[in-house]
Amino acid sequence: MLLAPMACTNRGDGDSGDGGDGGGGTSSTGGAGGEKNDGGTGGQSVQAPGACGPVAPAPLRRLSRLEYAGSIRALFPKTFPPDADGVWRLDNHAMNFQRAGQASARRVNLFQEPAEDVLSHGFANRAKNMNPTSLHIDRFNDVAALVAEHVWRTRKQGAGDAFLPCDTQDLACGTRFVEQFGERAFRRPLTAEEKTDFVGLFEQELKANTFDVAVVLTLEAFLQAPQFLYRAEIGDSGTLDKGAVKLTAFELASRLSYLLWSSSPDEELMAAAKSGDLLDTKTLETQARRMLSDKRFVFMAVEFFRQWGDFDRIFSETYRRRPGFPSLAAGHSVPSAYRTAARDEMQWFVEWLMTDGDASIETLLTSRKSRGNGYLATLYGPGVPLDEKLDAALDKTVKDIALDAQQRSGYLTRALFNWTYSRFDTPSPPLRGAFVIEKLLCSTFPPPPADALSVAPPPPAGPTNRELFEANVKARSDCPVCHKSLDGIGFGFENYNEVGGYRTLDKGRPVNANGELFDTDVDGKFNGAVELSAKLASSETVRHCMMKHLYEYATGRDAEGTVEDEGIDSCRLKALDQLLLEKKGDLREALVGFVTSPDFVWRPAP
Amino acid sequence: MTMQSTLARRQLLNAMGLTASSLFLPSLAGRRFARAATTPKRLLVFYTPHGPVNQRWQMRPAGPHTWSDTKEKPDRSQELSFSLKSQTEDKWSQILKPLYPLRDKLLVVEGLSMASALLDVNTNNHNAGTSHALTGAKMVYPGGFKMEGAGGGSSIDQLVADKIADPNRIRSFYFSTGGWSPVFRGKIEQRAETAPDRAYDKLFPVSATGDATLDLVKQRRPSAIAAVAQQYKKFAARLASDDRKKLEDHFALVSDLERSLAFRSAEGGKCVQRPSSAPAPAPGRTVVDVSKDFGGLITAAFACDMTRVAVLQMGQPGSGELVTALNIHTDLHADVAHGASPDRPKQYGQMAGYYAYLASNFATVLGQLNAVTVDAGRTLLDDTVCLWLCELANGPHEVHDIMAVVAGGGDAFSLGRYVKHAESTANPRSANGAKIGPAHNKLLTSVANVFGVETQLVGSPASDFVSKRPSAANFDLTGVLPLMKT
Repeated sequence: MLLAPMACTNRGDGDSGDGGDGGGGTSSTGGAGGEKNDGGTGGQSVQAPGACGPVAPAPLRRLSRLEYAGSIRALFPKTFPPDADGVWRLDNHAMNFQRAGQASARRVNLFQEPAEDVLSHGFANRAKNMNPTSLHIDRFNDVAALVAEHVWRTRKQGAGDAFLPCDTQDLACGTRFVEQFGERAFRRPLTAEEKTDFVGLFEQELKANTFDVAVVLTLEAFLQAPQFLYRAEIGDSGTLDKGAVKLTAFELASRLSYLLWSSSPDEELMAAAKSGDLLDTKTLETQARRMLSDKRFVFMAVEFFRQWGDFDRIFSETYRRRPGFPSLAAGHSVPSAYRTAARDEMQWFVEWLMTDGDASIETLLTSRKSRGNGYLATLYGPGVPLDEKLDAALDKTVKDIALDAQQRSGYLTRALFNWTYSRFDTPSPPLRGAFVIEKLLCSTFPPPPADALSVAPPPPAGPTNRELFEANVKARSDCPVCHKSLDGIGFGFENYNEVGGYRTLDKGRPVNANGELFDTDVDGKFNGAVELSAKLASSETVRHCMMKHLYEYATGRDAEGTVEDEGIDSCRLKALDQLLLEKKGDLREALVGFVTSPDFVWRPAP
Repeated sequence: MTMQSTLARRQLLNAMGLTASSLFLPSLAGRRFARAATTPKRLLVFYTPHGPVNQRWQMRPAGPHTWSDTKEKPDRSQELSFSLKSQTEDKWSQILKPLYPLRDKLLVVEGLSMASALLDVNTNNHNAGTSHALTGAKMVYPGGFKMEGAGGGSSIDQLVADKIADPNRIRSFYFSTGGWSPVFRGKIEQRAETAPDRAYDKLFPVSATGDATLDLVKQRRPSAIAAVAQQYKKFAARLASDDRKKLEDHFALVSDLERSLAFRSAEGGKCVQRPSSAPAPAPGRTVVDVSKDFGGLITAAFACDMTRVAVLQMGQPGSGELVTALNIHTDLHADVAHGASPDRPKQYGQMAGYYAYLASNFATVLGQLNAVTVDAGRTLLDDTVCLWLCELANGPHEVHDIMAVVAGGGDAFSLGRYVKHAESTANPRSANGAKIGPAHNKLLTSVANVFGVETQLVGSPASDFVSKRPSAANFDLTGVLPLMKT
């Protein structure tokens, strides 16, 4: 059974009740019942090849924040170098640089400088949401100027990237600069008209001002041009087949590099595009496998999980202060080092999973690999609740951490997940259950009614957290419908307190972490999140759901239809899911399968 | 330093809250506007999260508490209007009391419903409120998923900007201290500037960086942007319809930027001189302090006619601010807002306190505008329609009986009054016959009309909702809101 609907599902067209809200829950995931994307096809029916029928939509994609940063890093690899181990990470120190000539001495972060992307299901790369707004245009202008000035200054100081191909300060050098830098920025050779336009700009500024001014302004123009900010695909008109065209080799190279690296093609991939070899499926697969084993793959892989799990939500103000830290004075937040440690553990974990690990959902949910500093060790040790005064003595070095097999397994048993999906001062079974339902089972449920009351902070003595939630749900006749599934899962996490520390007692009484899964392919009772994780790891629904997330991330659009209603993507998802099954759940192999499928090389004709 | 620049500098300092006195600025008086003196020149939308506590903001001539907190409003079906000017401060409601000093310039509106949200498809009401509050339009679903709706039309600020923005200046501001975006242009969700220091840098760019090349680059930047714009124009033509539209939109915005950059680096620079220091970065500061910085920037930009439309969105305070400013030691959303019912007096009182805090913040921003005199006896506030709308009607996330406050704008509306609309239409979501008042679309339409936007409806017509909600046929969303003028 795939994508089994929960008993309490929301297809999105209900019209009863007064709404309420999601209770700060996870961003919803699903896709059923939505309005159709037409994906830039203009509504025309296109055929194209493949066992799954008409070619899939391929709406125009603008660079996301991540892809923007990745593209700039590729253009200026010495100015924005990777970490010491060669991996691109978002917290790389070179991503921060000083803004020139402003009254405020604000430092700039290459990733954060462009305007925020609009999220869909928590993901920040949906083409339909990548619309231009005045802030986006303003910020793209800002960041283009900042980067151009920064790389020019760095070059003047004798460091950084030699983006100029010559030393003579004349139009001939400017012309070569336009040709060579333009090809790297646009991920293809410039057309004759583009070359004329950009050389024209360079020449205009050279005549009116100086060579350096012409260089900086031309850089700025390249970095704001549609050919750079958008991944436009025109296709090869010679391959037109009933409204579909094959991508050109350069377009294919861009699809591949932005999928696997969140960045532009490197020299080897560009060479394969120039020669046309990339149009051959075997070469395409060879390149894909090379890129999957390259350290730049980490940039994409971590981001996929970071968006899926909303890793940074732990820093949300609402979730900062916790009574798990009894020594904190009123109004003080939990030291950010604990949150950072919890977040960093998961970033490391998914990085390990997708590179040195087997890249499977099973491992994601059941591995006890852990690595972190003394803050993380404290969260996982017997020392919770924490003591702020002891922080200074904590070991700041990062080491492997041995997790207790009875207490911890994979993602759902770690500090980040359990801390993030807690309320202000209590674990939240519904929030934790909602994450599993939405993000692992790809099912949904309606919002709570408007007048649903949250659970008041528990008194020092009295009912346990579970008892409080149970009483609230029982108090209304309409609550148990959804909470049966939500809390059936969520109560399984009761061994984790509001900062993800392990507990066996709640209000002095043994924790009851018994739960039950309903309306899934792995229904049944379980005790604690370790058992729950094992059940979910064996679920076909979970495997298919994660495949769907990855497919949507790869295509930049929400999948249409479900297995039940046979939307345009269901056949493709079935095929990829079968491949994932054959490849022992290795998501990297699913990516290779996607890359070598007809969908990856065809698109609707413009 | 010339006299003009001295005045401009003092005016800006004043707007930034750095001096206490008002200034008379004859150079600004009606110089740039051809409209009649009674026509408002600017719009400020103040948008706050969650919703207030009805019994703690609503007022009656006899005082704020004419009915018990625990009882249904006794005069729901009645229409009411009374002067705020004669109300002594002790008769003001807890939430609105911070606005008492500006009572002559206020119009408080009670009894409206976010009817378009009630008629729309059921979703979580944060989503509904965010999408409908400033648009009144049926939601759309860019991601294709019904729990993530977005505004189905332009928000009121953008509609007004379409009419009054000077294409050679900054079209509009959208500043925020956090929260989901209620601002839409067409159906495109807009993103807010959240850093006052960055906004300051954009408004008042340094004239010299100390580097001759970079100074020349700055001067010549508009020409590079013009070249970029042409690339969008050319490239768009090669794409299919939806994709082409996206690049055409991008082209239009780049063209806007080209013009406003030229203005900022030339004419804008003459209007005001930068104050000695930029606002501090937002992280680590209270949302109220940051919004005050934004209010100062809006005031300065309005005074210098750098822009004519602004939205200031208040984010939810962080835990530190909640504790120190409001003595709230728990989660504002989950524990306070959701629990703000009369039978939970603690949360009920905390929610009322929170909204009084927001009213105080609104009063601060109004005060910033009111501190700048643009003509004899007239302040910037008198030329600016300020509209306070909330995401929701109250803590428990309802969207009927919403609060609306209009301030300033001269005689665009009849100020110094409190009006209550009759709530006598059946709530389309309620099975027990609960009644709601006029659609807030009418308020948005009234505001649009005073700026010359010729429309009978801001938002979606009732017919758009009929297929999912047959009772929508009974709703009148069109026309202006009664009682706004005497």
